[in-house]
Amino acid sequence: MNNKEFITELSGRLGYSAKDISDMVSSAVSVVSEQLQEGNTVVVQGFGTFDVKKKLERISVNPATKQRMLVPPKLVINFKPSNVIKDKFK
Amino acid sequence: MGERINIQNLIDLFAEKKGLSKKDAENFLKEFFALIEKALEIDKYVKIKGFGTFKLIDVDSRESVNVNTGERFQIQGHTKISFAPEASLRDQINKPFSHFETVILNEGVDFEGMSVTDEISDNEDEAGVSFEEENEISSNDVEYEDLTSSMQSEEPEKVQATTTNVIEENTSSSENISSVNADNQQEIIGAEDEISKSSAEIDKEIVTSHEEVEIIATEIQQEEPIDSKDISGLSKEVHEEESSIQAAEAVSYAAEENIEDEPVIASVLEKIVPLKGKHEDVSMKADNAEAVDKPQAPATLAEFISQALEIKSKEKKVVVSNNTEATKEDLIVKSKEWLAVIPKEEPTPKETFVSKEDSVSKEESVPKEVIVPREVPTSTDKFVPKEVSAPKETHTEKAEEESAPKQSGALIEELILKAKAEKVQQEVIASSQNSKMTIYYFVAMIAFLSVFAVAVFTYIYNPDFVMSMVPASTEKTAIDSTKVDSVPVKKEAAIPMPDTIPSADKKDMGRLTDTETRNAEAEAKRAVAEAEKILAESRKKDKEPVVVKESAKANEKAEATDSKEKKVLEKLNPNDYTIAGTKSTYTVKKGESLVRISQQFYNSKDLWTLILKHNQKVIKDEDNVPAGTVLKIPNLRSKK
Repeated sequence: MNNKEFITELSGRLGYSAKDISDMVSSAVSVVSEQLQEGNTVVVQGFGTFDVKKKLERISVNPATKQRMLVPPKLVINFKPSNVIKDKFK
Repeated sequence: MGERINIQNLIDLFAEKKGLSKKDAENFLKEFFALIEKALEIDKYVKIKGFGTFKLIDVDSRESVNVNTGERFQIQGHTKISFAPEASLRDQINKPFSHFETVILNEGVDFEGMSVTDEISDNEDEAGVSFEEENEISSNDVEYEDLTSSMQSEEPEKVQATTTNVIEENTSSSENISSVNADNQQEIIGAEDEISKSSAEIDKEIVTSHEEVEIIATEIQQEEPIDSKDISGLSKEVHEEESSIQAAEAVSYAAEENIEDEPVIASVLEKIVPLKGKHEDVSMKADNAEAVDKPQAPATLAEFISQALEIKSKEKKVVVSNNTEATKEDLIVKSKEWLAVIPKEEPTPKETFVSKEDSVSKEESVPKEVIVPREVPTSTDKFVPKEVSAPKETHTEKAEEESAPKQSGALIEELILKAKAEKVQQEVIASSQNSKMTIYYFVAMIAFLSVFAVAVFTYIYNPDFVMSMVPASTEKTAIDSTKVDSVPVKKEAAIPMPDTIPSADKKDMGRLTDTETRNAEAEAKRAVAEAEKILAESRKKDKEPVVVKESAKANEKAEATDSKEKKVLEKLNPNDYTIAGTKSTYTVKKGESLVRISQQFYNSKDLWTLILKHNQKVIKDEDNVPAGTVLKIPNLRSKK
């Protein structure tokens, strides 16, 4: 399901226009991402947990050229599905 | 930071942002996540703009081992939910670390354990610091820069501190330097410490420091004999006859070349008396040498100041010589890298020998030219032709290595010019001693830099020379630090053959300890005699490997041609032969092939096709003839 289908489906369920839903989705996403940027963990009951993890720097080797590269540390979003949803799809 | 935001907080924040009622907001968010779940169920894939993609990924069943019991068990195949954030969100989250970029590591840079052990702190500044530290691991260059920068500052104590540090670090880092070298460096460091201490005390108390300086001066003098005994009597005489101005000059030159360190110290010590006479000069110099408060010092202080100056000059010299040592070691490290890069082009023993001599002659040309323009007695002139002969010999021995002597020649010319210029300067600025000191210091720096530049150019244009420099330069540092080889002839002898160097060094060490009880002149004579012996031996040795190598090469060539001839003999064309009946029968053994059988019967690998032709009924697969197969070996007749 792509974004368009998702918006359409959501608007059908909630009775808002697709444009409104699109706005609301983007603002909901921004709320979540703001919280994540602050280093907070966003827990959605029955769905899962979004949190930010720090990956340490590492040395990676290009197998073709054997060139070694120092990959810098970085912050990534991690999503951990809840047990409910995990079991559902198992 | 680190807070847990649950759905209720999220609803509040969302309602606030959109101006919706909490109920609507809750409704929307719950529906939002529920739909994601539902969509995953339907399509196994949901893409939300600005957020990311949720996907269901099938995981195959796999075997694993129970860590506790060691039992094997099957992990059932299942589906897992993955979330891949969109690039915009990913970048937003990674904003604190966004300034980092992937760095390509060069060869030989070892970060072993670095990425594993070093925790990167949350603070990005600290992270950046550790990052920089990694980039600067084991780079002597940095330390060298520190050294040069502190050299320019007018705080000799600081300089000494850094130089001693550098020396210690260098000694620990360069494995090639012998323990002898290390010991001597430690001695130098100890001497430096004493001197720096004394200078510090000078600042505090004039009278007491005067006594202490005297003590230290005597200490230095006690140290001197040991070293100066090793110097041949000739060179000592030469320097004794120099004037006090020349002594000062010598200090600056000695800075360039450690070889002359000891004679200079001796000469400086001997020139204290004339220096005392020049009260103005001394006070000015003392002024220069951080004794700022004492220009108005009375005549009684003249003595003290002169000694302070003496210590000062020694200090300076030590510092500069240390600097040269450091750079040399630096160069060694660099040339090691060179070696690592070009391991294939191993220089022949002869080449090493020649280029080593070249390097030595180059090194020696510096002191030589320092001496010549000053019109020192004939005794030094005796040395000069000898030294000149070294490059000439090398010249005739190997024409390929011409560039190096040429460069040394250029260096000589350069130095002559500089020496002349200095002379002129000396005449012009004879009145103002203060500026003269600074100028000499400056000139010494320039000369040193030019030597360095020439060395670098040699490295760039003559890699072979560089590679051969490696052992030579290591030796050089060792010799320099031992300060035994102040006599050019001795050094010349010590260098030519790498094998002889350690023994020569050891002998020198033995001498060093012995000299406390023995006469210096006898020592020098013996040293010269030994050096000549070693030189002769090394020449012999040098020729031998070349001969051996040549003979080995000849053997190889002969073998190569032999084998070629054999091959030519064996090369037969199967088309040139016809089968004329069966010669014999042969049962194939295990591991045998048609080619081998062909070789056995016809002394040629090429005729196996004829055997195949003759046995087509028996052989099903020509590449795999099973053991036990009975073959008919054809009788061959040449068509020609």
